[in-house]
Amino acid sequence: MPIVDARSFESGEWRADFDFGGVTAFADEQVLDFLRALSRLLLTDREARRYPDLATFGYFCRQANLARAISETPFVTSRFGWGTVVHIAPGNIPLNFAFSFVMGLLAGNSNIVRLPSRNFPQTQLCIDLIDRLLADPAHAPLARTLRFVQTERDSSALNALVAEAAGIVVWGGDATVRQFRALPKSPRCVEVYFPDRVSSLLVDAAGYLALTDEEARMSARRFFNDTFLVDQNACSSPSMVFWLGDSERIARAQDRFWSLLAPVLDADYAMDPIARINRSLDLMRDVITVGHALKLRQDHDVWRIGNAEVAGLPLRFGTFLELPVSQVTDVLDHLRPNEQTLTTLGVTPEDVFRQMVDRGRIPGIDRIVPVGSALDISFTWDGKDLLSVLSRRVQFPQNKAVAGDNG
Amino acid sequence: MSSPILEDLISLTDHHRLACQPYADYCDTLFSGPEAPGSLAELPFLPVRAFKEFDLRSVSEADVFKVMTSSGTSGARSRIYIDRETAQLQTRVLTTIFGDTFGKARSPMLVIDCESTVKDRMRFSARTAAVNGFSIMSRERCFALDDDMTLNVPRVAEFIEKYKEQKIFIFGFTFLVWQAFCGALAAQNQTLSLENAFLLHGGGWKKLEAEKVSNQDFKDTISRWTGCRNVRNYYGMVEQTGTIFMECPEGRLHASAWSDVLTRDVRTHAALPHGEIGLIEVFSTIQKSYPGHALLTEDVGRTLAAADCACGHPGTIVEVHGRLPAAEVRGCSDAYS
Repeated sequence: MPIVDARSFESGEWRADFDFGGVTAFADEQVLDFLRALSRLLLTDREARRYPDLATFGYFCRQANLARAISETPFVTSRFGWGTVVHIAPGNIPLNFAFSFVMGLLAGNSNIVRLPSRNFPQTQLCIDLIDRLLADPAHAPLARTLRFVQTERDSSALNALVAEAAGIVVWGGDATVRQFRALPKSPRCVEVYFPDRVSSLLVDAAGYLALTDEEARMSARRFFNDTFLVDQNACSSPSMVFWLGDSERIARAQDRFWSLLAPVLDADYAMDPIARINRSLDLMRDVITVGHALKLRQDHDVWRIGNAEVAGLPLRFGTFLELPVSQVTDVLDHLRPNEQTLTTLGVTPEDVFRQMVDRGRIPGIDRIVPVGSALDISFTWDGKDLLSVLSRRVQFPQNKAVAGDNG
Repeated sequence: MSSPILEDLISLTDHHRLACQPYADYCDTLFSGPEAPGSLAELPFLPVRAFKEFDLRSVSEADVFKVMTSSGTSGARSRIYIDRETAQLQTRVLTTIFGDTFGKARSPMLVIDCESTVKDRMRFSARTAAVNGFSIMSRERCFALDDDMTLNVPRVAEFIEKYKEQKIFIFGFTFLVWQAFCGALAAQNQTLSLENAFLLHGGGWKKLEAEKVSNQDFKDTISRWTGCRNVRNYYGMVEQTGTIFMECPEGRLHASAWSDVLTRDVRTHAALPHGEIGLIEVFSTIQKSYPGHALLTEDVGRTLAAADCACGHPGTIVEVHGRLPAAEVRGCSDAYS
């Protein structure tokens, strides 16, 4: 089943053998079979194994991972899909579309996925593998419930489709979210939006200094994967770094942390020359906005600003705002209104969460994960349990013994 | 290497630090170098795109004599605030560089562009600025192209006939001279009699590079269809209007007495020696009303010492190889494309 290109999409012919409005039960056996097979294929295909993000997606579809997500959803046996869900995938992350599709499918929906206009090899490869499975008679019925499409930016056919859909999932970019929120939709349409978010890292200086050299080196690599690997431009990539501890420990921890990052950047990072210039322009915007010069430490590809006033401004292209804090809850005073993920180093996410709520504070974040996991997508995103949101629960009085069904 | 204009540039840096707060704050944040720079490389510099994103001026609003704008590829426009003094300097310097190359007499000007490029205020562009800027060297102007960018041969022929006793000044953007002028003449197998004329062109080789046209091919083609043999290229930008780099008889672009140039490593922004390829940074001593005296461009090229050229011009040589490609940034913002 080839990708429906922009022209064919406008003509609408692709709808002839698409089961518009089709639903299945939540975590339907046939769907689970398909996802298990897809996981096996992704993790064994020679070509696919060349792409780490395809492998990550392969692990995401593994039986154990799906089973865990299903077990965490209440009332799974009385849940069903809503109908046809339209997914708008982001333009610059190759496989985000696939995660979105799997969530829609597992929840019981038929899915139309708008792909990024930029062609990534792993996007095409992923779809080729899905097609290979759908050609197998065992999975063929699912082919009627799935379309991958490409459309023009303001496609009238896409807008018409959104107006009919039972659900819509829009990934990222405030402008994109605004545009799709404003479109006419069915009164019952279930809408899920992921607007722009920002994220931070919390380092417990004492905990970090206690790490062995090898552990500290590993954490530099993990931090690199959270940030520079995606040009520090993903919603979950830290742009602020909180240092927890006394000033003496913080200074030692900073020295260790940034000097261990330097060889990783040397080996594996080349900042785009235009991005390097954009970084200077960001700095000029910063000084104009705050009205004075800033404390800036330039080492290597990393720029570290020490003025809290820039928190609300774009921090990217290897620019970080560093702030010392004396207790975990102080972090909450500096979080931005659209803060998403707090990654942690030298302290566990559970610890951080507990300390925040123990003091009666509401964590102004949706996610606390260890350094290195910032970009790991999960069935809960931006505070939303997607399998619950994308499925309809049929409610009826249940026998308490039976209702144990994870409820 | 020491630059003859270093002292002037240090004074300008001090002047703009006092007169332009954003510039001072930017320099204080980013450039912690020596109090007294000992070379061009140690001077603070701005990315040339800063003028597209920010209003940077070192004169009061009341002293702004005119605002020069240029459209960029992204659609953002540079806004260059010019006071009377800077405007006069621009004109004086441009006239001198031009006169040193082509002589001081004002010539009839054949513009390889259409009239709407300079008339239509909505389409104000780098071309508009350049055509108008060089018009001060001219007497009567004739626009060679119609508004649909096709060559109007009868109008051009009439203009040539009218001024056949004089030196005609032909001016245009490089790709228009190549495509809309030479290309059109070749397509119609039409030659012109411009043996007496001189041609100045600028704006970049990008489109010609794609067709693998060398400077010599360019000159040979112009000579074949128009007879004009005095052809000069220049390198300049609206952010440093006036201090253009003019091509010498040996085919090299030299800095003028009011300008200089160096290159910086694209990865580290460290200054490079002559001969090594990097980002071009241009210096100019005539920017009083805005902090545009040291600008890092997004052009890639290299510099050569003036002594490397047989022409005898003392200005540093710059070779422009092209523009940095647009960034392809990863991440999840700006999603819908």
